[in-house]
Amino acid sequence: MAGRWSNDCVVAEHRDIQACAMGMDCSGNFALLAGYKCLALISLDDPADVVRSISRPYKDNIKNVQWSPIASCKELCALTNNHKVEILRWRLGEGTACVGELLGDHVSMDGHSRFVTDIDWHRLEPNIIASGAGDGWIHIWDIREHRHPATSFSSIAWVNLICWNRVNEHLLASAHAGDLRLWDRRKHSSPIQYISAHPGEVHDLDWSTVREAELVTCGGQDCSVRFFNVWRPEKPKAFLATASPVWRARHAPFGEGLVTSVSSSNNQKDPSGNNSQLLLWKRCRGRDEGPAENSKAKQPIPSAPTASPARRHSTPAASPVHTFAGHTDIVLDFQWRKNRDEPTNYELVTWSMDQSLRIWRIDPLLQKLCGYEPDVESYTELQECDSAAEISIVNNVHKEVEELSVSLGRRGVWGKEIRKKESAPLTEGEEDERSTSFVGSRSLDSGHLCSSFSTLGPPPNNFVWETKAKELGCQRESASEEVAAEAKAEEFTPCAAVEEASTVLEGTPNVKPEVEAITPNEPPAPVANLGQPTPNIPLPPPLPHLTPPVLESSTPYGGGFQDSFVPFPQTSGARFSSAGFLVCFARPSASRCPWPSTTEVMGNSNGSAFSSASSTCSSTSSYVGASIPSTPAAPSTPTPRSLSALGGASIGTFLGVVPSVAPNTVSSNSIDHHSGSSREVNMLQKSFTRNSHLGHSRSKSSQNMVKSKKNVREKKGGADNSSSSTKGWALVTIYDASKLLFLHRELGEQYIFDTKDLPGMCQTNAMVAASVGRKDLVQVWTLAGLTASCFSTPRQSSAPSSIIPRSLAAAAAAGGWMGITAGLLEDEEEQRIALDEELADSEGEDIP
Amino acid sequence: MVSLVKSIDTAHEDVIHDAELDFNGIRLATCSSDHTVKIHDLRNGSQRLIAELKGHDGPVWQVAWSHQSFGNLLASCSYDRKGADSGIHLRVDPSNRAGHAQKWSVGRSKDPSVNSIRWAPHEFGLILACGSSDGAISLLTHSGGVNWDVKKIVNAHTIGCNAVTWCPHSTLSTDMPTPRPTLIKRIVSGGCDNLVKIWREDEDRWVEETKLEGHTDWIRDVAWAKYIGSSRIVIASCSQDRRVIIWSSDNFVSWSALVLKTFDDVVWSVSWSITGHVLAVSGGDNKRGLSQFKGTYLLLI
Repeated sequence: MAGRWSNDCVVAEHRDIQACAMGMDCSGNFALLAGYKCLALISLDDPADVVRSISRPYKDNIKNVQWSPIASCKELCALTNNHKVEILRWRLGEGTACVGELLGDHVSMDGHSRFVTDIDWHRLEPNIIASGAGDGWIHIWDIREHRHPATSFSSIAWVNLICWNRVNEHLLASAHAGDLRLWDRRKHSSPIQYISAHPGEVHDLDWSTVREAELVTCGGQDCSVRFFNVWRPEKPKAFLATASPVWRARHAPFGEGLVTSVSSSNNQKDPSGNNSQLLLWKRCRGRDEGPAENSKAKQPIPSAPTASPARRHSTPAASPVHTFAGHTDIVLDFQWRKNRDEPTNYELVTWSMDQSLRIWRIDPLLQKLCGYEPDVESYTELQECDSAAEISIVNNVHKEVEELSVSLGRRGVWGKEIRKKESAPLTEGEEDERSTSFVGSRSLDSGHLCSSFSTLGPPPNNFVWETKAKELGCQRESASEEVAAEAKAEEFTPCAAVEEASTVLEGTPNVKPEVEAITPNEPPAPVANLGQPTPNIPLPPPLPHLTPPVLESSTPYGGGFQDSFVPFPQTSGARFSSAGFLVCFARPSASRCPWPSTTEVMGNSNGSAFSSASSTCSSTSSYVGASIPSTPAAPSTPTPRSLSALGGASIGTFLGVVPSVAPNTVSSNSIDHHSGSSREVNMLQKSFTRNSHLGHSRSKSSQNMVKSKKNVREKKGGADNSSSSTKGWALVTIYDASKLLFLHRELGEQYIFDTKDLPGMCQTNAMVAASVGRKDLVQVWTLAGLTASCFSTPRQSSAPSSIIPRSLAAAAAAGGWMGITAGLLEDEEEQRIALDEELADSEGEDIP
Repeated sequence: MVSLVKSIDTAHEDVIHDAELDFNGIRLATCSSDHTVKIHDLRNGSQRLIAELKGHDGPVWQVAWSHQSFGNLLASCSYDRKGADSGIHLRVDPSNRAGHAQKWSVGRSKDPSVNSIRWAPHEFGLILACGSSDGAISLLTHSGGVNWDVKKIVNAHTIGCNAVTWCPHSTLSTDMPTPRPTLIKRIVSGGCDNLVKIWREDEDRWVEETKLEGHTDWIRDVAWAKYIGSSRIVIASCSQDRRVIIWSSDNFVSWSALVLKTFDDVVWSVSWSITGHVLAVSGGDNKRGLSQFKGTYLLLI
């Protein structure tokens, strides 16, 4: 039942700030409200007072404010400012006197060419932040080196949102209108997954705090919250229908909670006068989802008419637990913090369009309703927990694991082997025993179980042991999915199993030290096994490193263009025009072919290939039935697929058509305009690459480039006369293909039209056809003449032949086809063709 | 059967990506990686540069002349890396203004690469279809003056749409009953999802009518044959997988695929002759071929 009792709620209005974004620091003590004119730092212990307000003339809205989620850098706060991402460093110490002072200069990271739409701090590594912008780029920055992004992903589409995975440190999700893309930051050439999430724009995106592959989205006007398994993107894993479009949907840090805020309150007013802006849900999973709860739900589940059949058959993903009533307008943002006095209690800090900040207390009952068990939650209690109870849990899990082992077949065997190896060295305390037993039993699941036990530090995301045990089924599901996927892959080696075990362990955020304690005991696993993902398998992360990874600034293909989705440009083509010409162009035959292919050397160089081509053609007497065998050997490497193959060079230089040096030899740093043509071009290419990489306007550099090309050509002019005089790459050839067509202008002009003397007319027309060189039509007209003379006597008296006059009229009118009077044509053209076909048919009949 | 008329040195600074003659075969528009579009007048056997159109901020992929009844508009599309405005430019008949091209700002979109533009058959009015690398197909309909209505088929092709073409207006045919069926606008598109899709306008909306699966790599071009003389519908598509496939149907419902040929290299473009029985094919190995539908094949170069 969606409760509606009043919470202990602190309200603080800040109308003067006009903030549209709120960020809370990781300790939960401060919130930063960002408005048009100023930034206001608020102490959440006394939210009515502004600790410090900094007026900054921001031209644009600050879309997003986010504090670093890592305790060691908690004074860092990032905010978006038009095209830039700015990092502010606040003094948040105990000394109340200078709290809220800005420390040092703020860092500004300028790399986007359009305004930044979203930022997200990395959850595990300090100093790493990702930003997405309207220019289609996602940059990952190390704020210590803020001049260049450490990594960049290029997507053609506008980036709405980005979100780091909570479990896998390499995985980043981004939303582009209604689509999601997943990126692995080690593989920045292209997304590793595409998900079509919503018909409209995705408004919010949140990863599950515990399940690596689970993602929740809301968006559009479709009144739904969708849960995805990102490796099964075809359809949402679960679907939650709501009464109004959802603006935010985020996981709660306890149990299976989920909080949604509604993006407009217009379409459904609550009878009590309160707008149900903010709802807390309990996520229902598979088996234990109770239908009774749904029927009791008052309003958030829409009534039957709006529910499509597809919605109905999928299980309701969550049941409403609580409504936070109070805000009178859209809740723009919300954050969770722990209550200072009672660490078991959470508080929800919300900022709404009504310019009020509220702090809601979540009492244990609500947490319990969300599937949260307070008595095993607290790690102190966990430590003191009755060992009997633990054993029962352990046994439970063992049972589950046993089942799992059976169902997984040989996979289970490996699991047991690992267990033996693992249990020997770790004998000290209960915890170790526990963890070993789990680690051993089943690599994937146990990784999580282990982590929930051995986490002693304050967990940013609480892992709930009890829930974990219950969730084993859920994990089993994902495990078996993975096994199914891997069944496709080749041999499964024990090493790989161990590898995976460690992988999973490392994937859990809180357990790093323990993992490192365990890892050395495992047999060394070849790293090669790490990177053999089939598309369905998440990329296993490598060993954790707390230092930021060395990220390649550019790859050979890097270029940094947004062009891995843009097809490689065509450099040759043939297009028919309406006037019967065939327009052809091609890169010169003498061009260096960067990809090995069977290029025939056609005729001479410099475009005379075309004349040889036409001679080939004219030597072919009749095109009907003529078939010239083509060269059988296929090239080993075909032409590249996408524009990214150019690596930032211009297509002409890439092909070696436009005079330049090979683009691969870009090495020198010296920038000297007068040091020779080759270096100049190099330099320009480089600047060109960088400019567009950073999303800058490249007009200037391109102008330079053209200029330099001219220079180059002038300089080369003396030496290589032939290539500069006729620019082979700029040649267009026009062929007259009209003789290939059924229709011909000259024929149309010269054909005569005479119904009185059909055979004579056919004869004349045959001659006309002969004069134009259409031997096939000569034959047709001759046959038509014969036919006409055969039938002329009996048909003279009766109605005129239906075939001949009509087609003759068509033939006569065909003179207009040339397009000068284009509107006339369709019928006649068509009948003209009909004539040819009919005559061709009659030819077949008559000749025998 | 095919004779060389002339070869024109367009003096582009970089490789040419598309060339098209206008309706009367008088003006040749070419576009290139040097960010320009050039128009040459070919009357009287001469070759005269009448306009060099600048304004694009990236390689220009395609040009398209409108039907002359609309005054010879030239549309060009590019990959404007600036990203801000649009890869589509429209210009009014450049030659009538003594080389001064008027630029119409149309089709501003935030999608950097517009890969393909084609005008609708003139019977439908002045409509431009554009396929872009964000996977969408945009349809710009002239609504008087300088105003254009934009309709967008979002996510028509995952990753990107590489080619669009209109269904020719010649739905009429000898063996079709009168009265003629009402004219239905259709377009065919190909994209990075290896699919050829046919879209039909259905009361103000564009709906996916058919999805043709057969290629195993990105589609590079599609061409709809003006296959007059029967009600047969024929579409040619070419792809990165080096194949050209001819799709044919009698009723828009059941389609049969015929692999015309597997070429030696990637096939970049296909183009039907006006009578729809000769197909020009060009590909990455620099060869252009002419192939006659119904099995016979002739390699031009």
